[in-house]
Amino acid sequence: MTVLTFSIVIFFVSIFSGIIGALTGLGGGAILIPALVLGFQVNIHYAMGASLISVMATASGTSVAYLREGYTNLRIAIFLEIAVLIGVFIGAYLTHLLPTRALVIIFGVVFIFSAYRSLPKKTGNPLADHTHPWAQKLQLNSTYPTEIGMMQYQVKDVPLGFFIMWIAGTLAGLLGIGSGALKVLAMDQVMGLPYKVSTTTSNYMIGITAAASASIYFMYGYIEPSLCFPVMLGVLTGAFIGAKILTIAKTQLLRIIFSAVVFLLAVQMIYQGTAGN
Amino acid sequence: MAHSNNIVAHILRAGILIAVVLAFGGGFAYIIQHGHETVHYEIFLPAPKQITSLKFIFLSALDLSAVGLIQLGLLILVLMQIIRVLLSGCYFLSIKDFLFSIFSFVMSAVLTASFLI
Repeated sequence: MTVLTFSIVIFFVSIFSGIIGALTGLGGGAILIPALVLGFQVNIHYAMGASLISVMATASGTSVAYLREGYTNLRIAIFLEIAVLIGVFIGAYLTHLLPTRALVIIFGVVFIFSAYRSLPKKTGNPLADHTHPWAQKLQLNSTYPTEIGMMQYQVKDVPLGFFIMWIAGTLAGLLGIGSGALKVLAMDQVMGLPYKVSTTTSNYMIGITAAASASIYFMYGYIEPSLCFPVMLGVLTGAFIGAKILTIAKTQLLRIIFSAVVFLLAVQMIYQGTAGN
Repeated sequence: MAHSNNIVAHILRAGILIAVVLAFGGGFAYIIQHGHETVHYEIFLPAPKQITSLKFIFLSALDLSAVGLIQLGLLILVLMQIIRVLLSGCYFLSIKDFLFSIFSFVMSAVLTASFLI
């Protein structure tokens, strides 16, 4: 394939990846990495670099819109990102000390269960019915837009959410995969946030998490410019489109897309852990 | 508050626009120079300094090299994530929420340090 054709094809794949990233809060690596590696025989290191760029492009393409619409909870994002960053720096140091293959399989299995649990329920997915003292003290409880106007929501189990964010950061530093999924799951399943608040707040956070690893990716040569420019331009375009779709999309549909992407991610992780790169 | 939020939105949009212009310009030049070559991404090769070191990326972008311009655009994308945290800190400061402004400023300082070291 010529450089011209490749760039155009990757641009369109990246638009799709950006839309999915904007809707799920996952950043799009779950789509982009298998597409590049399996579809175009791109080396895993270049694919990981492209994925890191796609995460930051998704965050940048959505953050202004989601903040303005009132979905993103900025306090929760900043507070939880502290735990994530501590995890990233610890994770990067533990790379040679921990059995990463076993970990990637364990989290792959965890994600399969999580994908199932995230599916929309007939009775509706419950929101937090009480709040945690930390949430009151840090003023994390807030409002978000719904079809019937702004609705109040509460935040529960803040310490457990904070702890899971630390694990999410460690995963990002250690494996470079699965961090976005764990962020959405912690906010949606543990802290009881509305689904759209969870995914948009995750979108705000993932770019910051990715930035913490960026210098290492540049230094190791994972960021290949000729591959990354169509990715960045495509993902940004997709993220803008996705941010428009999210405001009108039904939460049930978004949950189904999220579960499907997390399932795809889980399969990748289990494959990566059992078969190597 | 709405006013300061607008300023934040403008700064973030402007940053991304600069990154897009650089990546697009560099990408366009790259395709003109190499468009008919065959792509080879199967094997991971050691990369030249022009795309891995901050200093050399700046120098090659100043030379208007296609690859240098793309890398500079990507670096600005990274920088915008840090600036986003910094601006969050300014927003919290403007509403006199000192705890969250400290959280944001410390976080942006740590990210900047990790990027430069």
